[in-house]
Amino acid sequence: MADGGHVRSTLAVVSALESVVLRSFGPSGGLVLFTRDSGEVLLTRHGQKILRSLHVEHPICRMVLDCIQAHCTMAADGSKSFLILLASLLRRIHAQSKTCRDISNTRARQLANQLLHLCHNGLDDVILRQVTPCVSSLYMSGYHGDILEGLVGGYVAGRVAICQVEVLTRVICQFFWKWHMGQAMAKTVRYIHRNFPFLHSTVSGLPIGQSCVQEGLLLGCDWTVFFENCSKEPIRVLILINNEFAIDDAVSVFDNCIYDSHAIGRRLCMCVEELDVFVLLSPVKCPDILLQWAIQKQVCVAECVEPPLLDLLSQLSQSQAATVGRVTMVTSVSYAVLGGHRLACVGLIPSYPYGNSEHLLHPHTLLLCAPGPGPLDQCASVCEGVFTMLYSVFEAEHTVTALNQSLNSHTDQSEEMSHNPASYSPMKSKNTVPVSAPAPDQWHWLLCAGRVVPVGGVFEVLLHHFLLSSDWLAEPQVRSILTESVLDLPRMLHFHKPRLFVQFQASLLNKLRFGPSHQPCSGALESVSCKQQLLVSVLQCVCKLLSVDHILHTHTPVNTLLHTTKTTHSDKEDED
Amino acid sequence: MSRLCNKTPSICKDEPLSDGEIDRKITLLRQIVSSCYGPRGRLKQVHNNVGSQIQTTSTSAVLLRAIQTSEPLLKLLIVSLQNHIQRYSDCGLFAAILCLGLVENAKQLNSRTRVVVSVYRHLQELCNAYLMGQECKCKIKIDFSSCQELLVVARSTIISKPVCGLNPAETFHISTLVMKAFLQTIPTNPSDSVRLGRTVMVALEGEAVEKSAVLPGVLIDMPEIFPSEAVEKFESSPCRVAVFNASLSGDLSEIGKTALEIHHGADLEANILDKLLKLGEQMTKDGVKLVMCQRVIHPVLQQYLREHGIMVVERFGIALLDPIIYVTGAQAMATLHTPVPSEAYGQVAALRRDHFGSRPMLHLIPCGSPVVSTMVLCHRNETMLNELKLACERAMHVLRLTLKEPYALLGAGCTEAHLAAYVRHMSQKTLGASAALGCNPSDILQVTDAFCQSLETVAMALQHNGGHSLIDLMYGHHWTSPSAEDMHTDTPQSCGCGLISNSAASQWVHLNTRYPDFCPVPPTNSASHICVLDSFLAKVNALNVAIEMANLLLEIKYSIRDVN
Repeated sequence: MADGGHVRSTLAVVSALESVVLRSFGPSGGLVLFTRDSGEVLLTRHGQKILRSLHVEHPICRMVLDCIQAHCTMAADGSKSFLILLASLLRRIHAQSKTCRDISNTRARQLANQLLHLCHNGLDDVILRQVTPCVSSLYMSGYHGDILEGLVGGYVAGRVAICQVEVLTRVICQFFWKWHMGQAMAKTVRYIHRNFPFLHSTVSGLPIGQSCVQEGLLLGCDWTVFFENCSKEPIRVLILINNEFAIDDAVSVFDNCIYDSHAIGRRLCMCVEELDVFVLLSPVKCPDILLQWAIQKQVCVAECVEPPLLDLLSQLSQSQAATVGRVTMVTSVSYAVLGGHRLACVGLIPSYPYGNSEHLLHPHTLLLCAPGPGPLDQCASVCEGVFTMLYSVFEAEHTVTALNQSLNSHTDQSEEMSHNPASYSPMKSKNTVPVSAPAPDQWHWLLCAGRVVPVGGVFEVLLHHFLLSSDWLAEPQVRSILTESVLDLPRMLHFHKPRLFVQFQASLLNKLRFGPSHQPCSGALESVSCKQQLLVSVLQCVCKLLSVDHILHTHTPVNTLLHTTKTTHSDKEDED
Repeated sequence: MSRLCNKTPSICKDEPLSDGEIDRKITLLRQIVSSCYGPRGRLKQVHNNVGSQIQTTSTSAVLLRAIQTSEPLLKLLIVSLQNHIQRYSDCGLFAAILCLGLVENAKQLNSRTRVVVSVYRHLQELCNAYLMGQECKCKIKIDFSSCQELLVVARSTIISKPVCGLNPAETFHISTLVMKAFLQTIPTNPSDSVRLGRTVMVALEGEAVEKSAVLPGVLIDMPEIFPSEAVEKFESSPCRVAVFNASLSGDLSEIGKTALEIHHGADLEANILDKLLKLGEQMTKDGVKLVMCQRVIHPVLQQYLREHGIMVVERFGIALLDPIIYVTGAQAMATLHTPVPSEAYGQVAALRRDHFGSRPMLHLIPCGSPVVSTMVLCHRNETMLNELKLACERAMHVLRLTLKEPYALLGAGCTEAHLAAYVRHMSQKTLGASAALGCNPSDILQVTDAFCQSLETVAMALQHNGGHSLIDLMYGHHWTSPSAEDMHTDTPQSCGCGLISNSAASQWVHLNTRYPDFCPVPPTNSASHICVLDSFLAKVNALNVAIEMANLLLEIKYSIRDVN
């Protein structure tokens, strides 16, 4: 392979991947429709889903996709931005290294290593000491609006169809606020993130506007037997475990003994009657005799409920073990009717699932509606992604706060203290107790600390400005590659009207010079830590790609020998 | 899993909607659904080349199931429409025509997709707010104290399917029956939780439509060997009923895969038969007169029961299990090993033997006021009968939906024309929202025009016989004129839905032309003149589904298709 050809071929591969996701980048991007040969249809704008669904054979392509997968597992955000930034960095490195004719590959590798060195030594510093305080001072007082809504809206806008954004944002925020009753928002987010598959239900055939939040847990199926219970007292529920219905391998029939196939069912009925429950939940189909008994005794029964959901219910309502299964108390049993589709619903009292008195949760279920199964999958996966993203924001805060402790200067502290003493105390307490702080509004704290930033390129423009002025970091050539590539991201958002981006950049730099304008702003937000993580991941990927010298294709021969022996055998049989 | 041949590269298409091939397919689908729309719609015959049943239909549920398309965009749309039809049973064709119209009109505009989608969404909210609000002039509140409006709703649903081939008298008769069956499903004794009953449909081919009837209770096919004298005894006296859903045939089907070890000397069949006969003894002692089993009853047990004067009905099937439980009030016994508790028995007021055509049927008449009834539908041939059955089921569903929202929308294209006029009028006022939507006022006007044209196309799709669609410039209702010239002398007596008479309106223009902006005024006539009404919930949902699917289709920018 000619020297320098590797960078060119890598760039070609990455550009091909970029062109696939470019169409769906940004809030005005479109959807991608996948059709498998089996007929399965996937409709999405979610970068990770698009890339996972591609069948790629080129090894460089596979390497890139692996890197993106690793990044998304950690940050849950930014797979499309990853590709655009990667392509833009490779283009600039290729342009710079093309000039050195004979050793262009080496030069490219050298540039990549220098970029990675810049990233590990100094980028954190620039972001923490210059970008973050700048963001905080620009937007702390000027931003009006719900921070959570801004964060959720920013995430959702790039991942679903334009018409779904408002509805989903509203419903997700409502869902969070209904769950959250105590003080520790991070714990609420973590709980929802871990159990999200059981905290949402989907209904197909209805417009998206009918999505809502339902109190209690939806069991994902309808009641087989249902009786109204109007009393205000807590209701006893029995949760059966799978092996209750296990039957023996063999049954013996003797002369005088009459075989009774319903003995197990009847035994179960007696046990259940002793426990005096009003509701029975079973993970499998109940025998008919149990259902008959339930109708007689006016006991509600729900069958085929998923076992992990039953576990979650046990945990949330703090159930106790009984002779058969587990017994617990719930506030109400009812059903949710949505367009002719009926789902069983169990109301739960707010509880402390971990026994921790600070962590109070009020269970609700998110009901998502969409006209068809394609848009429905998209909504469900985006909602799940929102909580993964919020969880990663909070996780990043723990590490950043520890770092902050060592890097923070006294002048910064006194500045923020005088400006807003109420919001400063949580940060101080966070240094000592990273779990949860008695903050009145942790979301607002994130904004004051400069950890969230409005979308549209604010972070990129500020990073560009501060990196260019940090001469001590690295050579000007290396710095300019990084800063110009970083600016390509917001440029892509405005590709249909480049003038808008230039105006935006100018106004932001103006604010930087003359102080924040007093115009209130609101809108979508994104997390600074996610952006930082993206930069690090992309630079590592560039190094990895450019460290490859040669690609060797090995060829495993198809086992034709086996095929030929089989055919000769069958020929022989025919002859016989 | 290994491959037999190499993977061929997937077909990637940028901006799939701009492809001419897909354009043609969308136009074709729109023509298919438009040509079936309305009471004068054209019929479609569905058959495949492997000899399955031929269906003649204009119902969207059947048509969409039969349309096989290889284009994934259209498959997406068809699946969503099928989901809507499954939930609401009505307005499937309306949603299809509107959605395809919105997509086609949007493509002809020069605006960016984001602008089109934002404005469509804004207009969707405007329409929803208007239709749900109190000031809506195209919706009628259903008065449940008289059956007039319910009858009109039922009639409009049935008359929209021309395959049924009913003349006006037959239509009236069937609509009355549907309404009667619906009213019978509503329980009369008030309690905390109201549960609607059921109507079982029995189809009879070859008889005249006038012979259709609604009967309280349940009808079961009577086997030929049934002794008719036995039934005569119970024609006027109540009798006790036992219902079983377990198998009484003595086979051990419920044990599944468990192995049975039968020891020397044990006779399993004799044991089971013994049990069955003990059960029979108990029922005889308890005075049961009718034993019904969903599955098979052992012949020896049947013989025993008949000897003791008990009637036996077996194999009535799972479809009739719930209705029979409702009618008799019995609890279905799931086992033969325990004695039947006394509270598990049910009762019927009387048994009767009825003949419908050549089919003898056993009629179970319930005690008290029944919530279960049977509708016997008769028609001359199988095609019309199938379509009539579908139409009646749809009409029943639509009537049930009125219990949720007691409103109906004006039919025959009047709601669509009225809504288009209203949206055009409001768009002038909402130009101030252009900044919020991120576009300029001229964009808003263009996209609003495209939206209203799509609505008007739906109203115009009702014309199949060369008539012309007109709109009046006062109320915004849809009128049909047989000829284009002499519009003023040759206008029909009233608008499509019947609410406005031609003396009240003064000016008409063609629906697909530009007309001066006006705000539709509320009609002054009483609602008694209306002859066509549509289901409110179904139509609103169809409108929302159509706009959302159109937005989704317009936003698809890239399509990747696996070949193998």
